[in-house]
Amino acid sequence: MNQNENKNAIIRLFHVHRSYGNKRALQDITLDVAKNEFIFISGPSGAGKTTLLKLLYLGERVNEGQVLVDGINLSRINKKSIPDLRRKFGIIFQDYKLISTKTVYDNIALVLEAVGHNRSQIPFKVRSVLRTVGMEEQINSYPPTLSGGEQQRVAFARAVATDPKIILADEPTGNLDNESAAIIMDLLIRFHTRGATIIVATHDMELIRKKGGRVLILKEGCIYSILFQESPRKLRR
Amino acid sequence: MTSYLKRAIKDIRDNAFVSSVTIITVGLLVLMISTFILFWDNAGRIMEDWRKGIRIMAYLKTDIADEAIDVLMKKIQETEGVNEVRFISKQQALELLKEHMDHPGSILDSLEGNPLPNAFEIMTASGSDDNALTLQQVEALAINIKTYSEVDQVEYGQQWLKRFYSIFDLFRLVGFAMGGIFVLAAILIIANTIRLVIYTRQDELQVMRLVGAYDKFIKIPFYLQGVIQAGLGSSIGILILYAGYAYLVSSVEKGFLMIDFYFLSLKAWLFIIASSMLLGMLGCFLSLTKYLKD
Ligand SMILES: Nc1ncnc2c1ncn2[C@@H]1O[C@H](COP(=O)(O)OP(=O)(O)OP(=O)(O)O)[C@@H](O)[C@H]1O
Ligand SMILES: [Mg+2]
Repeated sequence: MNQNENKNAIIRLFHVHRSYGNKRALQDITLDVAKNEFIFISGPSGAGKTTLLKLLYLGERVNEGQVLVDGINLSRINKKSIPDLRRKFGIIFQDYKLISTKTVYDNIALVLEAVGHNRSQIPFKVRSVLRTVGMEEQINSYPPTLSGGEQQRVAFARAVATDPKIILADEPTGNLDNESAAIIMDLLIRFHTRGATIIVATHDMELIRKKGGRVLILKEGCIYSILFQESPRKLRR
Repeated sequence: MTSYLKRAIKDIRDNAFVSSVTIITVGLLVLMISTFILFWDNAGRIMEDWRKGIRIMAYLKTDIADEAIDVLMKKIQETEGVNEVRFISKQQALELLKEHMDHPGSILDSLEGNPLPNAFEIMTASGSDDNALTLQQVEALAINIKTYSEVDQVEYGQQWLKRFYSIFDLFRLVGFAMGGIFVLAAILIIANTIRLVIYTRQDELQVMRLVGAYDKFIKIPFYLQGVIQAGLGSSIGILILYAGYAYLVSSVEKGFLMIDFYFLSLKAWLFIIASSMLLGMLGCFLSLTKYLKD
């Protein structure tokens, strides 16, 4: 960890612990994520990937250790500033968290309204973001009537609609066929080139192999290894 | 503010089922409570009417001078709780008695002179007055008047009054108890309804928090919904009650009830609607504060 890296870090975890009762979900995690990095978090089911993401947007709190996001120490954050912290993120939740009683349009419009988007531009914005994920046709559908993959794409659209600084994607392609998955990855890459920091939690090795980049591998809550993916062979170790 | 209102109305429509359940619940509760208030109010008013004009008759001794009578009358007039004092001379009393008899002349004419005493008719502060007397106070007043040396006897329908007052007290006690139970039940039911609403909308609340909505963005439309639904529900409740009242009054033959049966005053039903709305907002406030604590 050199000085230069620290300065560039938008996210820093320092000896972070998190347990649920007796179950240790994360243990002694220390990690820096640089501004505009594209990093994968991988590992088997139950390894702690989702938990790690939750700690970043205060979906959960650490038991021990420190988390810094964009210079804000989350242990000392003022309750009133939590919404501002969360606005830095665009989050694709593993379970999507779409509002089932609202249409696709309203799901996205509500979020834009919530973060104070210019009201007159919301309809246009919603349409354009749905177009990028190929869901413009279903704009008036309700989430429960959509397939898993379609819901996932709406969730993606909602996450990026606000042009967030940091995108957290928890299994963003889990329900998608290869083609749709490739579209989502292309979109993530597009936001990455525009300057966003991207963290993708996935156990889809194929996805990682195709994209490449730094990979944090968790196992039973601990860092198993951090590697830089260039070729498929390294990961198989 | 208009955008909050728009969202509140939209949310009510988006959650049509839960919203209707809420509105109907409020409507039924208000119907129940205002029906009770209606009957209680009317019964209370009728009983108050009966209570009006409790009078004490003070019969004077025979040999009192006119000046002394005037002085005594003034004294009684100034006593706390006395509204009006009328002097009824023995001649007047005799006239009254004659008027009330079927065959005047028969017995009365055979009397030597006039056996009736002079008297005061003392009207106490009653029903509609702020300082209406309780039974104990009427009793005390009567005893007090009896201590004047000019007064021979007092009379105030003791037995009848005692029974009436104990019924009235019982009526009031039962009324308060029932009212208390109704209000308690209403609060419990409303608390549960709000819990249901929050439960069915927890996804939405959670999403809004996770994407960084400020508390007021989440809460204000919620409060407004509470207010709107409580307002609608209570208005419906009162309208149904009014319909029921109008039907009852028109279908029961006039005079059968023998009493005037009034509907709640405009003030009363505005009060009921306003307090429902306030309760709706307060309920939302308390449960949301609890829900959004961390
Ligand atoms: N709210 C919770 N209460 C109790 N235990 C939890 C909770 N959330 C997570 N855990 C536990 O913490 C561990 C890590 O969970 P986490 O969801 O982070 O795993 P994951 O790596 O995201 O798994 P997956 O790939 O299946 O999504 C698991 O063993 C899980 O059972
Ligand atoms: Mg997970």
